[in-house]
Amino acid sequence: MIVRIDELSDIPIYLQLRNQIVMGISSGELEAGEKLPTVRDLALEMGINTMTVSKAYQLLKTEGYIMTDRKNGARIRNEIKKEAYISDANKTELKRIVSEARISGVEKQELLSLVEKYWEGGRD
Amino acid sequence: MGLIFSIVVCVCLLPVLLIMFFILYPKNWKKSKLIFGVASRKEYMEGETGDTVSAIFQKRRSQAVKVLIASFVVAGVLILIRSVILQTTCWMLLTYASLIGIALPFVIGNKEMKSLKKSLGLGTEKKETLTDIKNVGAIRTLKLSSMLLPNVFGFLVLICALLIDLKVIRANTVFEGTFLSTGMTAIFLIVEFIITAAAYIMDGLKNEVISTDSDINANYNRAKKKNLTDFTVKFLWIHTIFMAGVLVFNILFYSEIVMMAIVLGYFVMLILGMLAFVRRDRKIESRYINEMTVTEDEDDYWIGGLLYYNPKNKRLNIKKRMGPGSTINMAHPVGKIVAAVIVLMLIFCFGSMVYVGMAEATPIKLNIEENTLICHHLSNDYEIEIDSIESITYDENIDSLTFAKVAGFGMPNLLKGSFSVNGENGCKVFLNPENGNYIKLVSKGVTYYLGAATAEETKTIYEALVE
Repeated sequence: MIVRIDELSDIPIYLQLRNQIVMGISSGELEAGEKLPTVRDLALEMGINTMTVSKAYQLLKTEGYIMTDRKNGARIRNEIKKEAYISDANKTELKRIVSEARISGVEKQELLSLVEKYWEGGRD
Repeated sequence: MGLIFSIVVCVCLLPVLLIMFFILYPKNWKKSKLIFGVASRKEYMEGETGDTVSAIFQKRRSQAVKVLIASFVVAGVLILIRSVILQTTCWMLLTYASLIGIALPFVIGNKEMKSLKKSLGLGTEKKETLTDIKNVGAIRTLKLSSMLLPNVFGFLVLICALLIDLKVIRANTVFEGTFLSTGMTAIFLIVEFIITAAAYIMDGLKNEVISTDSDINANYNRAKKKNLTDFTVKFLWIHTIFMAGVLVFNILFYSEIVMMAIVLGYFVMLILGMLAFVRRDRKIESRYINEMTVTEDEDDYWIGGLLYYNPKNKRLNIKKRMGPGSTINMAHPVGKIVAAVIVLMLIFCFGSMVYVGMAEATPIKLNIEENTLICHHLSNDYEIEIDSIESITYDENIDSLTFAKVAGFGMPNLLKGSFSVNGENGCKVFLNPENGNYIKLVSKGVTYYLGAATAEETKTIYEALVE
């Protein structure tokens, strides 16, 4: 699974990393129980601070996507809580995306097929 | 001696230039992953842009060919020079000039490619770094045992040299007891340890991302790292054999010609190893060229396409874009220190060359002033009180002496410093061997072999001392 970090983006690196891991879980590229690299190894490979990776892992752990223990490091949770609920923050974000698409003249069907594609696990 | 030295330098320099040329300027730029250090894109292959890139490439490549031919011609001329110091200076200048000369068209080409890329509006919208999360820390090809064995063998060579110097093993060598062989072997062993550490670091380099398929990335990186590991292990063995060779031939059967021959063999082996590495690396690249669906745009971080400078990257060691091994991130604090040290070393090399040149050009002087014998060359090297001289002899057959330098100058017209003379350690030598005569004297338990600028002056000084 390829993690892409955009250095010019306004989104903090730890959040970009967190988002990409979530997308990886959703698309099935990261399977349940799969081991993630250690904080040190991943930071060294990406050339970023260990604190940044640690912060991303901490966030993923809090959100229930991964579990960590001293012996095995970080792993994708076998059972991710299915709340069947979209958070308010995500709703606002979705609303923004739909609005921008409509203003720029994107057809509703085109947007829906894109949603469908991502839903099925497709990536750009 | 000068001819052998020239051959050694030729064997070291010219193949390196050739290897550099083939790495920096591949014959077919369209099949290359990089064009003058700028990542190749399909946009560069099409229409007018394709013609522009082709024109840039052909122009810079032909300039590099001219540099290459000029270097070979100058090298041929340098072999004819007789003066050792002049020859050494010229070789050093040629080395620097040819290495810079062969890289210069590449740097200009890099600048031109970057401007072309900018004019096409490519790669400016995002600065993405790619990491294959599944392969992090998983691709390691270095086996500790394969690295340990040559190091252990090298350590045994050091022990051997130490035992010879401690006279536990009798070798009847001129260096016995001087600890010169132990020192040399220890330095070689330190170099071996550094190579081992560097190999370990390089094995942990960031994995390249060439595809969205993690298996392809894993196989590609494994193949590349295995190639590098194999080369490093070969390098270590060549180095260890060289160490043992120096000890056996130079220390036991001291001969400068044999020493040069060993150095020559060492570099020939290294260059052959390097060629095999480059050939295999090319093979891996061409095997995976069709799988390369992802390109990481790091062009702007490579100054001139050769030096890596990225303040946002916390890594110190970075995989080279071209050629074997790794380089350093110049934006890293340690990288800055290393760059400063390299610049200082280059200045030191030039400074020492000037100093050695002055030493060769300045004649030695032997004077008697106020009951003191003064040996002057650039500065007062030895001041011997005449009353302290215990014995003095004069000889005109300098060829009967075997001088083995421990520290100082050993040039055709100047022997100066600490030497082992006919197996006697700790002798101080200050003479021009071309004169043929010398004064041998003992003062305060130290044996001196002295001479003046000319044979006549040496004889006059001897007579004055005897009186």
